[in-house]
Amino acid sequence: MKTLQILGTGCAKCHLLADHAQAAARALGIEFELQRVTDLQRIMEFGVMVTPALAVDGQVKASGRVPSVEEIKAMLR
Amino acid sequence: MKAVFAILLLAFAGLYAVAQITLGRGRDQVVHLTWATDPNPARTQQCELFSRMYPGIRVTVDPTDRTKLLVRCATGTGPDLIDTSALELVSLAETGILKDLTPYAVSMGFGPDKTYPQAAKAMMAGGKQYRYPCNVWANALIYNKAIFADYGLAAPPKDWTWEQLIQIGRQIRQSKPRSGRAYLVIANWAGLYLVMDLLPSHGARFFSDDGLICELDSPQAIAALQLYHDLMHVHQIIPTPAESSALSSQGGWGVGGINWFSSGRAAMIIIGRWYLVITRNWPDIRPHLAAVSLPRVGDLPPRPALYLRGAAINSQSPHAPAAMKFLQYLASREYGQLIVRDGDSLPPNPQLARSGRDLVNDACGDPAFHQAFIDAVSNSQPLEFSPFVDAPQVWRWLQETVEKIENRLATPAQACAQLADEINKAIRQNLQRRPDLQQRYEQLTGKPYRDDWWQTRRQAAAPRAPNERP
Repeated sequence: MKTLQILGTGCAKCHLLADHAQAAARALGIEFELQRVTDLQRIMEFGVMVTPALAVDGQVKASGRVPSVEEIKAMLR
Repeated sequence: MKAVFAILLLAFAGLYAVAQITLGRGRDQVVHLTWATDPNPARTQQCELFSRMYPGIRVTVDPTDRTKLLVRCATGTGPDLIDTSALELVSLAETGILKDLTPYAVSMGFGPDKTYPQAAKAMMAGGKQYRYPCNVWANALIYNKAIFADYGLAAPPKDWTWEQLIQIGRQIRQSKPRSGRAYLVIANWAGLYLVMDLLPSHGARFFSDDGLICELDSPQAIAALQLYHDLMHVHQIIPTPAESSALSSQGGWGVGGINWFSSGRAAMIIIGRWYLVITRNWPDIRPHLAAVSLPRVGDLPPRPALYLRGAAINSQSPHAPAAMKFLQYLASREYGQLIVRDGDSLPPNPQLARSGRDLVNDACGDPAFHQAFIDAVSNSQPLEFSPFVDAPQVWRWLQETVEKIENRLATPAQACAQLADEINKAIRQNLQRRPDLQQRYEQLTGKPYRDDWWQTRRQAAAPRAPNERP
């Protein structure tokens, strides 16, 4: 099972990123758990300076933008 | 023609590709923060030092005007960092423009424990921390040693009274200096700031504890404004507005009291340590500078007003984590040393201003000079505001009150009564039309809100003796 973490304080782009990540994981048939990390200190522990950001199993894959579903699919493969 | 279009198309395509590559690189490697602050040349150095300490983050100064700033924040395109004054803090916090820093500040090293206790109060709104100071200041009295020597006057004592200052002022006005030159006694650069020091020094309060009643018509407030009136019109040691405008057109001294003092034509000035930044343009004044605390009123220690320019974070900023690093930087030794060196008030972290010796810089090598400003901040009191009335409006009314006294349009007692009346009327009107304030009233008083709530309040307020502090 993969852990998808959406790093962001709850802005509109954070919600969009969460939607894209879920859509990508479902399209690939991957079992996943989605976590929303809104605490800035925890976000900073990931080394992220710009939100929203996506981390997969603790690894930051994108920050400061909302990757498309296709792009996230490539990150999850 | 076809060839021209083809060339243009290729050129645009090339530029687009370059832009995409460059933007992508910027996004991945360097975070760009924007900081809404004044375009003071010192900011360039402050931004450069930050980028050296945090190589992945750059800060650009954005000296946007406040109206544009609000519109940009509302549309999600506001700057990441916003400098705020005490006047606008509550409204920016209440409208959700500023990020609540309370959950992070202490653990990240920019909490109330990392600044002066008085400044810590001024970082808060509604019990939450919204900003961290870029610098902190309270006024002391700077005097020109050469002018004092010219009159054969001893240096003012460290602990002194307004009567002693008036006495020195009289000597300067009435006796002839050895040089035969004429000097102003005190260069009054902004009357309102002096009044802001006189009010708390007399024990005057702006508002009752719950913020529901303006107390600027108290005997303490009237005594403070009476002293301001007397310094100007009775003792004649600060210039009247008419004298100020006449002097500014003579001899090219400049338009403000700061220039009179800087050009060696005034004996004293009441101002913050940031005056040292101004002296870059007046290097000749630097060897003559000395400073002491403001005089006290009776047995009360001087209590100047505390000011700070504080950086807050836009709640909509996508760069909030990087902006937090900037606040960490403001609390750092490196940033504090920059403030010490420039003389731009006191560094926000008091660890760098434990004694006057810590603040010695190229502008002034006398630790006693700098110590006067540390003492001023230690004794200071943050400006008081009420959640029931707009702070910038109160500030404008205060300015009008000072002008009435300066121009002798009202006695201090009349001016104070009019001021308190105007503010109290605004509080009542605001409460009447705003359910959120009525709710706050009920929380504060534990009583249901009624439109005539104020009728019983004023009678209940017990008068204090003129020199008594609450």
